[in-house]
Amino acid sequence: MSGPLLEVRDLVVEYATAGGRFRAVDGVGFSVGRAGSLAIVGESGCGKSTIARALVRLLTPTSGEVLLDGQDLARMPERRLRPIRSRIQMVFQDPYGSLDPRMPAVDTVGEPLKLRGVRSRAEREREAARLLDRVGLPASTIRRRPAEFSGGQRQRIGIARALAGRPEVLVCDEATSALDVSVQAQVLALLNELRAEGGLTYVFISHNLGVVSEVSDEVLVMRAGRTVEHGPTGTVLAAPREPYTRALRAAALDPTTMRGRKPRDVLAAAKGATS
Amino acid sequence: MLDVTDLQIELMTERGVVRAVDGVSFSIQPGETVTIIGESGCGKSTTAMGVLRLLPGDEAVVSGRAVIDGHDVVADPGAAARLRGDTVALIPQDPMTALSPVHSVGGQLGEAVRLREPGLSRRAARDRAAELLAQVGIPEPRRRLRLHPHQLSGGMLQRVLIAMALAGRLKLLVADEPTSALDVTVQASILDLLLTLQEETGMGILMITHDLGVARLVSDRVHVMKDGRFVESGEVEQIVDEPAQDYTRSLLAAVPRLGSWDGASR
Repeated sequence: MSGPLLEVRDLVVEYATAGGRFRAVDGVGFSVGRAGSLAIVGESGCGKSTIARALVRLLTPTSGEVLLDGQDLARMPERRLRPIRSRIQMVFQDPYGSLDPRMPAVDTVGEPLKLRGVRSRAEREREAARLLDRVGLPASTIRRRPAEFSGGQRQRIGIARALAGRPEVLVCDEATSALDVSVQAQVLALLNELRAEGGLTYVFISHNLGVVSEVSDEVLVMRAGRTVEHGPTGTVLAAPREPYTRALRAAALDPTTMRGRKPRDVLAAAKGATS
Repeated sequence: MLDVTDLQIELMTERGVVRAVDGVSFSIQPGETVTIIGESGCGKSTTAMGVLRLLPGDEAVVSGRAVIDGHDVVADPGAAARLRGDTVALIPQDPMTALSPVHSVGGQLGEAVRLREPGLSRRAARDRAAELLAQVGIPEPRRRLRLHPHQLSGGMLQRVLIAMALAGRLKLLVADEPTSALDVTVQASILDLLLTLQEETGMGILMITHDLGVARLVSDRVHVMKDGRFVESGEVEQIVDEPAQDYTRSLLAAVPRLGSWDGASR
C-alpha cells in the first residue's frame, strides 16, 4: 500500500458540556508516513490529547476520518476494530490509571504477547523482561506491582507494554514527561532506534520542544482545537510564525544557553514573542 | 535561615532500611535560593521533607542537625510543626491534588489566614485572602475566592498555594518541583512570581528540581545529589558551565538541546 501509513482528515471531536457542545478538535488534518514522526504541541486544553485519544479510538470522533493504511477507524464498529487495535498503540502520560494494580510489571508487559499468540508463559516472561530492560527498568524490580514504582518507572512500564504488541504506530501522550533527563534520553534513543530498525511510526504529544526536536520530523501546533502552524521541525522551531509557538520557544529552557537569565527575562521574551 | 549539618535519613521499607539521605550539609541565607538537583530516588525530596519533618515518624529516622530560624527541628520535631504553619511553607509538585476539591478557594485561603491570626473576623479573613490572591498576581481576586479548585488552571492553583504560604510570616519556602506539572509558558511566570516575592519578603527558597533549566534560572547555589549524597556543589553558573564531576556532566548531556532563543528570527 502506498500513501501515508496514518492520515487524519478534517477531524472534529465535540464534547457535551453543561454549557452545550464544546468543540475540542475543530477540523484538524495531517498525515504521517511509515517510520515518520509527527509532534503535536500546544498549551493545556488545546485539543492535542483529544486527538491522541481519537487516533486509538478511546473516543469516537464526531466527524472526519482516521485512516490507518487507508482503512478508516473513525467510526469503525468495535468488532471490526478489535484486530486492528494492536497496530496503533498509545503510551499515556501517567499510566497509573491504566496499569492493573494487582499485576506485576512483567505480567502487565507480557499480556499483549498473549494476543500476539505467544503461548508459553516462560517465553512471554523472557520477552517482557527484555522489553523492560530496554526501557531501563532493573531486572530486580520486574515482579513488583504498580504502586511500588515511581511515576517515571510506571511510564516506562507503559512504554514497554505498548511495544509488546509490536504496533506500527505509537501515539505518545507526554510519554516522557515524568522521566528524569537521563532516562528520558535513554527512552528517546530507544524510540529513535525502533523507528530506524523496525519502521515504527510516531505521533508525539508534548510541550517539551527539546524532546520534540529530538524525535520528530514534523511539528503541528494547535490552539483552541485548530492547527495554527504545521511544518518541518527544524523550520518551525528555528523561526516559529505563530505567537503561541514563539512563546513556547521563548519559554523553553536550555540550561547550556541561558547564562545570567532570570525568569523575568524568559517571561519578557515569551510575552514579546506574542506581541 | 536554614542550616543543615550532616543530615541523615533512613527510611523503613518493605525491603529493609534504606539510607535515603547520607550526610548532607547546606545552608540558605535570607533572600537566597538554593537548589538540590538530581534524578528521582536520589533523596532530594526526602531531604526537603526531612527538613520540614513531614516524614512519618514510624517510617523515617532523621539524624544530624537542621536549624530553621534558630530551632533545631531534628532535635525538636514539635518546633517544626509550629514553624510550618507560620515561617516555613511547602509548595508541592502537583497543585491539583494539594487543595480540597469540595471547598472554595476563599474558604481554604481564609482558613489559612485565620490559623495565623485567630482573632480575625470571617470578613477580615476574606479581605486578607483577596489581598493575598492579588499579591500572587491573580486578577479579579474577589470573584476567584468563590471558585472551587477544579475551576482554576494548574498555574492558578499553584498561585493559590503560594498565596497560602504567604498567609504566615514566611521566611523559608520549600518548593518541591513547583513547576514540573505546568506548561512551560506558565512555568516562567510562576518562577518569576517566586523570585519577586523573595525580593519583597527576603525569604530563603529551597528549590527541589530535576530540571537543570529551572535550576539555572532561579538558583544562587546548586547541590547535585546522587544516591543520598551531594556529588557537586557550587554557584549555578559554575556547575552548568564547568561541571567538575562526570555525573553532573552526564546530566547536562542528557538534556534535549534546543539552542538559544533570542526572539529575533521571524
